[in-house]
Formats: sequence, C-alpha cells, structure tokens
Amino acid sequence: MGMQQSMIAIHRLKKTYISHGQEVTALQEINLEIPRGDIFGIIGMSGAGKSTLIRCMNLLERPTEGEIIIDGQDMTQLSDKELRQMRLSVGMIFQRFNLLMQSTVEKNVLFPLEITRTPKKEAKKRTMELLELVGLGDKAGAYPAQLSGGQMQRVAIARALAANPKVLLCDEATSALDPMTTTAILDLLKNINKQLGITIVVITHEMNVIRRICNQVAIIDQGVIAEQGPVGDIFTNPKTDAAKRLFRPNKPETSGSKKALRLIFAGQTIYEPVISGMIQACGVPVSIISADIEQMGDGIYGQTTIEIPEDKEAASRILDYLAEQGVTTEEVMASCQNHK
Amino acid sequence: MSESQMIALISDGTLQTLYMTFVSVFFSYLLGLPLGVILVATGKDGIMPMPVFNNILGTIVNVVRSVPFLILMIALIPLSRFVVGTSIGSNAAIVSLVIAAVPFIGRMVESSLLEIDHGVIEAAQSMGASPMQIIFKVMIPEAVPSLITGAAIASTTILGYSAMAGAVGAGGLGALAIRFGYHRSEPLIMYITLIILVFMVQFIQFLGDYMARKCDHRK
Repeated sequence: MGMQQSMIAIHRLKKTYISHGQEVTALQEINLEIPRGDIFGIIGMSGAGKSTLIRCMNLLERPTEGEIIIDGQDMTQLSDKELRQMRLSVGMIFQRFNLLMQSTVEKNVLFPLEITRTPKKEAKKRTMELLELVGLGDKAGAYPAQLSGGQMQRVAIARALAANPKVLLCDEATSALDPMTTTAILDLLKNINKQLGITIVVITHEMNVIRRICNQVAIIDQGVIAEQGPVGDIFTNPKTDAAKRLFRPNKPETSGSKKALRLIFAGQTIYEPVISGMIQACGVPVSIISADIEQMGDGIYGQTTIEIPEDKEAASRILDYLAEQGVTTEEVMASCQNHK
Repeated sequence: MSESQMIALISDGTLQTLYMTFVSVFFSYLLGLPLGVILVATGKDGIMPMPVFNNILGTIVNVVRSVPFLILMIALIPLSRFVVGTSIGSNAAIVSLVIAAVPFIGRMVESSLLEIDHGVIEAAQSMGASPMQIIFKVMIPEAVPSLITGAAIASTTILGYSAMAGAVGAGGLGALAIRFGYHRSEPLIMYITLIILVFMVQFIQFLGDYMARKCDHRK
C-alpha cells in the first residue's frame, strides 16, 4: 500500500460483447500494472482491442470480468455516483477531440469545473492557467471550429486537466494529427507528466508515439497482452511475433536471399566504434545493409544490419566478438524484408 | 361587403391565427422538448437506457401521430370543453393543436439530439457528468441550431393545422378561407388569406434559418 502501489492495476480483465448474435471476445486475461507518474504505452494494430482496453479503464465500457483498480479503488465495484466522482480524477482525451462545438474554448475548459461546482471566479482563473499551460492563452474566446487540429487537442488536454486528475488516458490522441503536430502534442504530454506528475496512459498504433514519450509499453495483439516491459528492453529483445512486427519495421535491404545479422546497440555500445573494431579484430570485411539510430523512452538505441560472411568460421568469429562487446544480435533474412 | 368590413375580418383572422399558432407552439414545446429528450435518453444507446419504457413511449407517440388532425380535433372536443370550457374558438383549438403537435415535436427534437456526435457525450461522461448535466450542458446546447431549424418547421406545421382547425369552428384565417371560399363562393377573401398564410410561413422559415445560422459555431 501507500506510494509503492501502482496507479492503475488491471487484473484478469475480460471483455466480451455480442455482435450479430455471436459472442465476440475483445479482451482476455489482461493483467497490467501501471506505476505512479509513469507514461505507459499500449500499442497494437487496429482491431487488437486497445481502444476497448482504455475505455474499460474509466468504465466507458464495463468489463465483463476482472478488476480495474485506480489509485486503490476498484472501478467496477463503484455505484454510479461514486463512479462519476472517481472519473473526475481520470481525465481522458480522444482521437477526434470531442469538444463542445457550440461553446468557446474557455467554456470547454470550464466544463469539468462546472460539474464539480467550482466557484466561478476560481474556475475562470484555473481555466486561464490551463490555457496558458497548453499554449492557447489567447484563444479563450474562440470556438473550436476556428482552431487547427493540434489546437483543438490542446483544448481537450486543458479540459481533461481541469479537475486535477491523477491519471490522463489518451485514446489515439495524435492519430488525427500530422507528424509535426503529433510531436508537439507528445512533447506537451511529456511536460505535463513532468510538471504535474500525472500518470499518463497512451493508446496508439504508432511506434513513434511509444518511442517518443513512453517509459513502458504493453503490446496488445488479438485481445491479449503479448508482451510488456520497459520500451528499451522490448526494443533490444522482442520475444513475441507481435512485438517483432512493431519494433522491427521493414527496411529496404538488399535483394538476394542472403542471411543477414541485425545488431542492436543499447546503452554504452552505442558510443563505441563496434563495427570497425569487429572488422579489425576478426579480419573479415562486412557490408552494412542498413543502419539507424533512435531515441526511445529514456535512451538512445541503434540498429545495424550486416551481411554474414559465407565463411562459417569467420561468421562465428564475428558472433563471438559481438557477444563479447555486449551487442545483441539476431539473424534475419535480408531478402524477406525487401518490400518497402 | 364594404372594404373596411373586409379589412376588419382579415385583420381579426390574422390576429387569431397568430395567437393560436404562438400559444400552441409555446405549449407544444413545453411538453415536446422534454418528450424528445426522454426519447433519446432512454433509447438503446442513450445515457439512461430503458428499453421497455422507450418502446411504450415511442408507440404512444406513433399512435397519436397517425391520427389525421381533423379527426383528432373532433375526438378531442370533450377534452377541450373540459380544459378551456368550450369546444369552439381559438382556445379550444389550441388544446387540440398542442396534443397533435407534441408527438411531432418530440420526434423533431429527438432527431436533432441524435445528430450530436456521440463522442462529445462520451467525453462528458468521462469527466464525471451526470445524465442531467449531460442533457442540459451538452445535448441541448450542442443541438441548438438544429433545434431552431426544427422549431421553424414545427411552427409552420402548426400554422397549417390551425388553418385546418378553422373547419371546425376555430376561427382565424383558415376559418375565413373556408367560409368565404367554400361556403359563399367569394374567392377574393380566400385568396387574400392564402397570401397572408404564405407570407407567414415564409417569414417563420426565414427567421428560423437565419437564427439557426447565427448561433451555429461550427462555421
């Protein structure tokens, strides 16, 4: 108990619904622990059940079985009134913003404060602070239709924060935005997490989002959690096919059906001249098929794909050397990844 | 008939028609707006689903709507007598007009409220809003332009019904048109009343469209 306890704990969550007279299982055996103050990502392809999962967290959808414990409270056991009270501490933002289109920006942000019957003067002050925080201090009197998508999402964020929530749920919050706006919104979320200490849960199908802001990630595939852990760990060592599909996006590589070796650099190895060292130490020239470097969570990660020499003995020397240097390796077929 | 008599008749009829229409619209909305809200809120995907109740209410609405207005009026004569003390005149007609218009307005309001993006209602739920708060702070304000457009249509329909009510002693422009155009074969007055009715409908529609546009902030 106390501060050690997770902000959100999901135990054995199951969600089924009836579609065309048949029972469909949307989620099964979901177990998640989301630490206080974390930015936790849940990634999956469309139809994997990720939206259902986040909507179960604030009971917009009622789980068929299982527990949703937020800050020590099992959401599924609350009465309607208690649930409404609890929802004040769980903000949510949406892919399509869901703003009141007939109300000004200010009225939108005031909405949760009207629900909590905050005194007018205090509510107005808080609204202006929040609009400043999201960078829209000059837009209080505008209507949502006069704003860009990114600005609308900023209003939605300010609104979601108005009642001082402990948790912010983001349901595909950047999926309707262009890449530059996405980056700006993600940076804003990261700032909010840092400044206010709010636990953020991010649902997305975009690897980019996970890489940019999440510390931990759960991969959801066909209604179950395929894999979860720190973003860096899953990147360096994905165990399941679902994780590999997401964390090893296809890259244009050489044609030819050659065996290739993927090297994953994490931690200190990223700063060291491993490949030139390897060529010198093993005396085998290798050609590099592809290479890149990415910011992920708190760390920087690199990956390089090289051809494996025909000579078996040279190949094993390379593998030994890399293992010694602490580089994770993985055999891939270069030709298999030829499609763009 | 002298010209001044004719003017007196027509202006009297116009005032009666306006009176019947406005009073009927007012009372019809007093009952029809909550009816529409209840129809939406208790619907299958509503914020307070009550399928059985919703079905019963929907059936009653449909039954009343399927009775032709003239027949409804005749059937309601005893009720009018009970409510306003007489079965003829504008006040008696108002009772029938309201009863005929409430289910119609209920459906109009229902369709306006169903146009609202469900995501906005969900957002309000996620912020801990109660069903009543969602109705008064989200559904109705978001639907205002569509509700105004609906009100213009409902008003012109009630105006038309009030003219029909003239056939059974309601007074107003409808009664004039029937009396002079049908019973006395003096078509001039009938044409004049027609022109006034057309102008009234045009004006209500224009005003409704203008106001709906003015208060719609979706651009």
